[in-house]
Amino acid sequence: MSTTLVRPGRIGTALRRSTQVVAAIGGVILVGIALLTLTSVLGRSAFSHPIQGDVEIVQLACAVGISCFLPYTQWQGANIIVDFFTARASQRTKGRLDALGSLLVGLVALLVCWRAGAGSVMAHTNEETSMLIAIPIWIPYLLMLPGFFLTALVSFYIAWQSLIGHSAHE
Amino acid sequence: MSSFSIGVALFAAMLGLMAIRIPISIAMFVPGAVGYSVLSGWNPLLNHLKGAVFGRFSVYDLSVIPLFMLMGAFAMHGGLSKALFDFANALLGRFRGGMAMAGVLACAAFGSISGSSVATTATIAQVALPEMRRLNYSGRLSTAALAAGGTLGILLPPSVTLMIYAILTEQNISKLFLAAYVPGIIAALGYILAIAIYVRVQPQHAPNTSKPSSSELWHSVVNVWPIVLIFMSVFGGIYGGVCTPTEGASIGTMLTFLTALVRRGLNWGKFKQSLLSTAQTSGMIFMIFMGADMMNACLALSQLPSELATLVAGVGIPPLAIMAAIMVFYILLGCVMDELSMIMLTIPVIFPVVMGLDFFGLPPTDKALWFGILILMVVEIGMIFPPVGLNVYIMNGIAKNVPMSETYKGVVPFLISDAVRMALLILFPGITLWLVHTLAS
Repeated sequence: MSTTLVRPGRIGTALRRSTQVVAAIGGVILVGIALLTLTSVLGRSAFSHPIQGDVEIVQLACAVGISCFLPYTQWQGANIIVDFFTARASQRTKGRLDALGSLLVGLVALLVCWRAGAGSVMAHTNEETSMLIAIPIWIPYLLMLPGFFLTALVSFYIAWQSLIGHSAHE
Repeated sequence: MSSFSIGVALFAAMLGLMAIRIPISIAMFVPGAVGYSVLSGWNPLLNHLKGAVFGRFSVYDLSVIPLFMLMGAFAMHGGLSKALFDFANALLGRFRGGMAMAGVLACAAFGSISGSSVATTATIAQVALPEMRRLNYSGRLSTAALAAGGTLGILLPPSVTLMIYAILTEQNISKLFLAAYVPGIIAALGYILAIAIYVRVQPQHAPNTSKPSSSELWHSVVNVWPIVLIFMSVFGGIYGGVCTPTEGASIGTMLTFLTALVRRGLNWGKFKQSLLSTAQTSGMIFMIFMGADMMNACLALSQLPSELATLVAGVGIPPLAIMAAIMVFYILLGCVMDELSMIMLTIPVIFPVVMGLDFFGLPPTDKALWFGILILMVVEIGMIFPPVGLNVYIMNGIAKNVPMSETYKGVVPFLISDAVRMALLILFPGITLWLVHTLAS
């Protein structure tokens, strides 16, 4: 994917840093899931006392963690494309197609962000909670929004960069 | 326009978008969303999307994917690969081509705690390739053996492909993992055999052997025991029914982290790198999940999968011929698209077709396990099959002075071994199902 590596400007640097920070937060959530599950297994086997509601916490945390990974994936240009049919196209054509691709990623991320927000409102109105320890479902819904929103921002930035002939990816 | 033809049109639109470099996840999402709103309306689509993504990301069993990724990343940085390769070479090094065989064996061992073939190839190649070149192994044999050996990363559990298959088809992950062992071990033995035959026919590719002493063997045994311990505690727990795959993966992640820490393989920088590489790969997988889900929700509305299943079951072609055709179709499709996305996209359509056919009178759960392993083989072959074998690309990045065409030439014996194994697995489902039946009863 790398065409001409440019020194990212102020916006690029800020976006890169934020994707890294958000991805690291997702990673820490994942480590947290592992620690929680481990503690629960130890508690269950040693004292026959698992952590109440561990499965629910893992589910909800997993959804939030994964949404945190998405902006970084997009920044790294790791969303898979098929380059078989365009292998012989000119750099300019590829750049334009990649701009279109990133633009679409951004639009989809915005759509999902908007709908997950609506989902959060709905869960709040219906007072939905998890089964065992009654975590309000609107909270993890809401926590997914930053990941999708940042994905949209990053995608629009990359689309713009590809259009003017720069590769934003590292 | 019937629902069925709308389904076909969407499929065509999706392939068109993929051909012009639109990310695969989005090439599935956009036609899926458009089709959904055509078939049932804009507001139902908006309603569907309210909960769909959260619903997909918050599945308990899905958490095994990032967890096993993280475990693999820790193992990669933990200096475990050198211990494995030294051990394998102490065992096999004295034979002609033995160091290439040792590379395969080390890949198999690493693959049994890592779910990714890319990580397995890269990790083992870093220690094995310089050693092979030191003994004047040809670039062709050394890179091909490691590219092929690396595929054992997904053949042997934990395996990302199997986890995705299990989630898409609602099968038991532990049973699928068990079913993969015998085929995986056959694969490793097949590769070792392929090397043995190859170096006998063309000895110039492996001119020298290493002669490890017995003290080196003993020393290497001491170094590999943590890997055995991690393997036993993760999979002993899962197969013994003591813990769920997510719990096993959590235990494994923490144990691998500790091992890497104790061996001083892990510092702050590498820890961050492990988190970020896990984020990148998991993000990629879940983006595709999101797109495939949208597409499948739409395809389900169009009833294309069920109509196709009835159609195929009614044409009167022998089921085994259909299965062979499916496998060939997958390998060809794998030439132009990524194997994981291919699976996520096609399984919801192809799985009902397979389940609607009769193979040796297998009961449904057995049929699902057997088909899952066949799918795994297809993905594995795609990793080294031209023109885009991912593992060959990885090797090319590591062994910069070996041209990719050389690696592709070297891969041929391994592909022959793959083809033979594939035929055996299709004709004798018992190979796959034996271990599951033995341990489950």
